[in-house]
Amino acid sequence: MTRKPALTKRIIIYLILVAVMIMINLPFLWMVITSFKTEEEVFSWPIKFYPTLFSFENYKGAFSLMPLTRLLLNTLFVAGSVTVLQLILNSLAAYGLSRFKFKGRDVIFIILIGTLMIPREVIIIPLYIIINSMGLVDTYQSQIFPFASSAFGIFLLRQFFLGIPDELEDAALMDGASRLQIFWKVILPLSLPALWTTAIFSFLASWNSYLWPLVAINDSKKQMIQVGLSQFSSDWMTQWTWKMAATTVAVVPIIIFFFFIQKQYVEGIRGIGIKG
Amino acid sequence: MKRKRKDTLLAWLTILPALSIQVVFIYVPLIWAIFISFFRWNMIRPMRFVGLANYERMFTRAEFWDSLRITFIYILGTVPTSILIGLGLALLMNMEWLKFKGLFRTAFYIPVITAMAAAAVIWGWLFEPNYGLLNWFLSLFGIEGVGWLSDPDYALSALMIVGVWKRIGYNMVLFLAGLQVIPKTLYEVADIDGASKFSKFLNITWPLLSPTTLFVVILQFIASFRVFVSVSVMTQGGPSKSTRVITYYLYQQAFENMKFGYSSAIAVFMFGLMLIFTILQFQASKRRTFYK
Amino acid sequence: MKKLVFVLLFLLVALLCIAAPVKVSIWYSQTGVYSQTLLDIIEEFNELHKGEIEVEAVYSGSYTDTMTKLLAAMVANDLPTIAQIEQSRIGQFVDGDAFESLTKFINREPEFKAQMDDFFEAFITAQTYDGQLIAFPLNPSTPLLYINKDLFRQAGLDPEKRPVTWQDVYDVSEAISALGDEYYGLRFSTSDWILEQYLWSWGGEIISEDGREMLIYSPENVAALEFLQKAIADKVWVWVASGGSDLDLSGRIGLTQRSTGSIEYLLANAGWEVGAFEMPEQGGSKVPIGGANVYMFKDRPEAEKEAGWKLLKFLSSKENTLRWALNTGYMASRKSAFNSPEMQAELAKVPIKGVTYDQLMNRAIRRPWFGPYREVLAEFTDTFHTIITDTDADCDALLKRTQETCQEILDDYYW
Repeated sequence: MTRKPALTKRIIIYLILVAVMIMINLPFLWMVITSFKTEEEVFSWPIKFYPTLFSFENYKGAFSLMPLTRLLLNTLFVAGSVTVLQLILNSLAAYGLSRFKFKGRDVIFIILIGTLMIPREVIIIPLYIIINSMGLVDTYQSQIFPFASSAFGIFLLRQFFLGIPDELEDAALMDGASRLQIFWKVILPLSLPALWTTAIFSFLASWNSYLWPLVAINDSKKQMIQVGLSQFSSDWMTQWTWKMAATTVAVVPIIIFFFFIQKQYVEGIRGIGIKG
Repeated sequence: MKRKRKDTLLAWLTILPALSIQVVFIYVPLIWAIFISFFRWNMIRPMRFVGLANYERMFTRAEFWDSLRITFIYILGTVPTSILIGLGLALLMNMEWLKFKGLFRTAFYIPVITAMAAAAVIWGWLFEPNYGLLNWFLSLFGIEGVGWLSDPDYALSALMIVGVWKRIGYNMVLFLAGLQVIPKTLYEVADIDGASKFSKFLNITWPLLSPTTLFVVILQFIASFRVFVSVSVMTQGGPSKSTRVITYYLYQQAFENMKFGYSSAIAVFMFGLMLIFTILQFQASKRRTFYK
Repeated sequence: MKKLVFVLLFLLVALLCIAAPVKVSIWYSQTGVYSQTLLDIIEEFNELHKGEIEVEAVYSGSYTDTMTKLLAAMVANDLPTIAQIEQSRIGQFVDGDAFESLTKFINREPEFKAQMDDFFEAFITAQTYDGQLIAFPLNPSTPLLYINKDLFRQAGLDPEKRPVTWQDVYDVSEAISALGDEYYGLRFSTSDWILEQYLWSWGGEIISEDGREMLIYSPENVAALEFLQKAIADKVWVWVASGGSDLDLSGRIGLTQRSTGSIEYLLANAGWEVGAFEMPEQGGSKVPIGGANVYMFKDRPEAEKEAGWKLLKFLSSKENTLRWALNTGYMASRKSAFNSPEMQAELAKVPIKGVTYDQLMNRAIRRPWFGPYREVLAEFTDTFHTIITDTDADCDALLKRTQETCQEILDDYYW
């Protein structure tokens, strides 16, 4: 049992954390504040730290200009599908790569991981050709299939699976369980934190993607939220207040979601012996 | 023996779905890029075969090496900083008596959640030399502000600040997870031996955290190498090319200048570089203790 | 018998036409209230041609992002019928003969041909390449010198007196920046077309008529750069990398160079009285026509292009160009729209909206558009940034080097 440090020390640590918290969230706070200002207040001098009138006019404006609800639902569907597919495909591959020994395993691993390094912007044209030849332009599938598996997820999960002691699996094998049963009943439950980590990562990547949906989707009813957000500004001017209102709308649901799952995500890890 | 063959088959079956996705949607485009890199092509007129000319151009251009240099400075500036701050926060957050952990964690994670495109816009304001909050804040302490994004000497640093800001929370969570699996008994034993806090960190925490650290280093390295959105929103590679990282250089060549053969050559180079990096890292980690 | 087959065939074709309306797609970069007007016009068009033509309007991102989307579609042979493309980005499409000639359609229709005089001449010449018209203006504009009248008065200046030369601009800027530390005269914009105007106004040139030779290294242009460098060093003018156009709203900027299209935004959001003048001229007077135009792609089925042509005519009709201009603050492309009672009433109400038309009729020409021009633009924009941020930089030497680098780019393109 570790002792509680002295009160002053605890207060200092709290102060540090609160200070960092405020600093780190300044851009976010500024965004929320701006979403309640009038366009004129945004750039008034001296700086206005809070809006004179707290009104939801900008939110109304943003929703009237863009079908934000529709876009959010589209994106939720796509990001959700990507996340589920990634969880399945990545964990399967990671299992195969971590619990079996076979010829060519290392090469396959490097091939899978090698793609970690390629920025999507680089291959956008050939990717479009492929999606087009599959007849998937202007569909949700175009946003889902190319991201159904990720090098990052496989990498992280494999690393995690390697840390789960062999003995657990051997014991289950002795008991006559099949490999897939072990995967389902032993490995996955033990890996929940790692699964959460990759799930959050793939969800965010999908939720925040902009260029690919812009290129591959034409129908405005099927468009993703980030493309919608971009339509509050043009090359020479921006309706800042509306844009910030819309951006807030797009970010807050995820923050709330994260707040509820983060306990799982971090604390679930306790009690599992990753080998150091 | 039969079991072994069955296992091998099973292993392949588990890998196949992920592998086919990666092959169809990344490797096929990549092979296409390799093919294009031997041509001159603006995507409008017919391609013309030029052999290795695109590669020759790449290696002889100062601007290419400049972009590579800027990228590496960016990596050096962001990776260690974001890791140190992330680790520091994780150590504080790991205190058992700490309350409101969920709140803190969520708050630290908000930058990770926010889309870079939106965040970069807001940072653009904060950095604004005349009405931005950052210079206003500095002026409270009598420090004269700088033109964060308009001065070639500062623009890259400004981008680094944004990069670090975006990742601190992410690293913190990974370290937190790493910290929580270190057996408490080790610390108790050390306490009995009368070890100082610092020596506990050095002899227990740091070594046992090394798999996490390595993992974070690799991820951050890749993330820094791929930096794109913040550059394209905040500086467009300027002023005076001072923030033109390699991804942005490539993008500019492809979609502004329509030199698709040349930009493909750069893409192939990037992939090659990263492949070497991956293999080296893989070989190194094989020798590590945590790898069986 | 033959006749019967013919009739049947005709009926079949007619039936098919009724069953499946021709699909036309138009990609646009307009956002916010601007896109709303465009979408309304298109919706009206769809109503008028129900069952015959169906137009799908697709947002294609900013001018830069539009290029990514367009090129991907180009390679995959999946182009839209019509796209809105910004002027300095059309070069390689023109060189690659990717756009359909509209002259072909116009010549077929004497009635429409007779109307061609109604368009402002500068717009039409700007979109004529090799004798063929390839686009109609959608959101044309010219750059204007906007002023903060309140600051002018505060500094004891006459806000109705146009600063004619850059020296005049410097002088009024000096007076305004004397108001206090946080005040500046001109916020110097480094948007590409603003830079073109700046060099032209000093009598300088950028690139030769045929696009093969750089002319940027000249005594006029060196003088222009040195003047700018001094104004920045004196803290009379200011340049900011990002969020610059928003600094204008803060009321600390006396003058600013912006598009005609900014008028509505400034009038609605600026907390100060907005004035506007023609761009300064100091030995040269040319002003670029900015904005984007709508182009039709050659590589589409004939029936689709026929339908696309109808849409183009509809978009550029007197009624719609007038509506566009009234709603967005951009320019009307036709004289009849400009002379209409509605427009004249608007101009009487907000006189500064007329400035851009005077400028158009007297001074406006098309921007350089050549294939490698984007790359050239990026180079000399960098040069501007260098002399602005390093007030000791040698303008002459830098411009000489820019000339050489850009010439290399041109030579490489036309190899």
